[in-house]
Amino acid sequence: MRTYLASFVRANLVWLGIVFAGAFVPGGTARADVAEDHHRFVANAIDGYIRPEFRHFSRLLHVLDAQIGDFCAAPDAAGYEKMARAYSDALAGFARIGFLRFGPLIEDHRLERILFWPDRKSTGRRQAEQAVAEHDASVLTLNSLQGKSVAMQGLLALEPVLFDEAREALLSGGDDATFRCGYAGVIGANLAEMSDSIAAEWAAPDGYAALLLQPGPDNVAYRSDQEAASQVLGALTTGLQIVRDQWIGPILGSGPHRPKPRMALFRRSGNSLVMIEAAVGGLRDYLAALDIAPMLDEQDAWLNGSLQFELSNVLEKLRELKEPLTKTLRNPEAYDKLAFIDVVLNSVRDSASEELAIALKIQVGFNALDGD
Amino acid sequence: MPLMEIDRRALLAGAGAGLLAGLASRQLAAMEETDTFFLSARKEADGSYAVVVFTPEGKDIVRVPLPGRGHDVTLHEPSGRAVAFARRPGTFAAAFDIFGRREPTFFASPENRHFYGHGVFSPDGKLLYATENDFENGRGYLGVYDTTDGHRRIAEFDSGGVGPHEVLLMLDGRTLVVANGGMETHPDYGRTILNLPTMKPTLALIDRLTGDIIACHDLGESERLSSIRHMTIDGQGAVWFGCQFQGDKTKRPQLVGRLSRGGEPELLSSPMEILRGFNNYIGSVMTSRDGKTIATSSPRGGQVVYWDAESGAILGRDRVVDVCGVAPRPGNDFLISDGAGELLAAGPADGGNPSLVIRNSRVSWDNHMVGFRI
Repeated sequence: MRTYLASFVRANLVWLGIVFAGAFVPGGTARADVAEDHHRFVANAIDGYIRPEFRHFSRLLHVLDAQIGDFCAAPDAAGYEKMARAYSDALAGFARIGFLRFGPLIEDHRLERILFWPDRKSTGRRQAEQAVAEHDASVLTLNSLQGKSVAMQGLLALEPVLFDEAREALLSGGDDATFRCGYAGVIGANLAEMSDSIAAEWAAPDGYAALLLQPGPDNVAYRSDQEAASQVLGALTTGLQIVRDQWIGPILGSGPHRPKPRMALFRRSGNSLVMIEAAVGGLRDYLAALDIAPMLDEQDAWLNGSLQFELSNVLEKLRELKEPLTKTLRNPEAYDKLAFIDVVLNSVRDSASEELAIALKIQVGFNALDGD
Repeated sequence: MPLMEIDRRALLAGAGAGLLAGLASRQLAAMEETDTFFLSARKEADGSYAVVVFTPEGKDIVRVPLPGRGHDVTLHEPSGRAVAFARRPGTFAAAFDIFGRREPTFFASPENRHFYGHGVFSPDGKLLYATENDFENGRGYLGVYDTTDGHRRIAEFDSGGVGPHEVLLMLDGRTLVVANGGMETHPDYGRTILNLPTMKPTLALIDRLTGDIIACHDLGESERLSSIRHMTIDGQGAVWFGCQFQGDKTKRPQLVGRLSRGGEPELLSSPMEILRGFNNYIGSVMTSRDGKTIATSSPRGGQVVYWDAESGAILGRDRVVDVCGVAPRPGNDFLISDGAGELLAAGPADGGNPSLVIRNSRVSWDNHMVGFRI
């Protein structure tokens, strides 16, 4: 009898517990286990964004490689346009994954080999131009290119080799066109190979994803779900910082009367805005993929919508800007728009690294955050 | 904004009074217990920044508001003069008296230069050497400032590498040692590293009288991504240094090393468990008062590890979230500080349990702390 009563009481307490949990902890019960939340947060990032985006990026680089091959086999204006579009798409694809600076992307300086930026002294451009001018045969094999300066190996070098002033040379044929095609083809193969490796390493069940998903005392990289979650959230703030510090900030210069649009990345191929827009769109999609709403307490629930809203707002404003920035930014209205975007991105970054980190119970220390 | 705030009661009750004339013997006796003070930059509750002088109990004595985030403070003990530097890429420095006997003065790095947050005085306190970035040319320099002439910049030396960070004076009073982190940055791109694929950190020894580079050590090609940043000098005059690894977490290289006089730098060996605890990052390196123990802290790993200066063996460790500042205390242990406003007494003998001195969760202690005795 006593046993029966006890189990009856227990059952009712459990039931009461659920009712009370429902009443006092709106939105769910999973938050009782923070580690579980952090684990799901990390899994969402990997399956909802990182893996599919790196797969997509690899497809884009294969398309670029193929378009370079197609154009070079039979150069004509239509083929050139297709190749230019593939290049634009590849740059946009990079902007969507370039903030995931942990694991496979930064292994063996792949990030810099794919895109060396900022390139303050135009090293990549100068080295690529010199290789073209001298018809340097050492850039014509993959093995030998991979041993050269990282700035000569990827998307940055392709711009002077194929675009900007190279169009005429390529369409008119001859030795110069042959050399440019040879060099571009090797870069295309190099990019395709690297992006395949990165996508495969992320896809592997026992690869870097396993380090993030199975933290513990014997895990070389992450000791707890919280550390892994901190890496995932950190990518969001890093991404916002990259767009500001490396892509927008340099263009804004020291004030409205002194914009420096010549500092814009890929301005010669008209891809500056393409990349900024793709980066912000990528960060918004990354945030959406994290699916943080179920992890937020009621008083923090506004954060999710607010951050999404701000990023969508930035995207809308970005679409009002036009290339080439060297001309359009002379207009103070356009400058103000870009400056406003910069301010909003900064406030999103602050919210993500402070309010959101606290709301998700992810420690981001004052000293640890932005080290020195 | 007041240039400086002084808690006169604390000052009079404490050792600050010892520097004032006509001290009663009773007061002198009371001072025996409290002749130790500390200096550190911090973020205040209202989001502003300051550098403070405080007692071992964590009570502020002198507080100098700063125009931006500070980093390290360097002290000339005989005169009580100190200089707090802006965190990179900041350009300000604040010179002040540790007992508030003079108004603080501010000076700046020259145009096209910024400070890295560290500097050191000459033994007589007349000259100040500060690490600087010539960012247009991507070169590291030591700026030499005359403290007796309004901190006028009177000379500059090549630092022996890119991205000079901490600079210390060796026991001979003449040789400067500079940790050149190897990382090129430019204010146009914030704190972005511009030369990751080619970075080369060095440890340079420089004659402070001539600017000659006496030696320029590196850790070899395999350690190229380990940025040498912070140092301390042990009782025997050996330089201990801590690195910040710029690669991925799947690699856990050794981060703490020692350069003995006339030798080559060597990395000390710690087990994987300790390396994971550092999380590829050393934020501060400090010697105990007797020169026999070295503390190395990691805010990114939340760990302080203590080393025997002579044998290089690990003596113990503490786990404290966001810990960075470390300063020597009288009993040859350490005061440590964190981003959550805590000051803790810690050392190899605490068995992994540092004891809380005070917590003011409204402030965040910055990376470095200085301890001194008058």
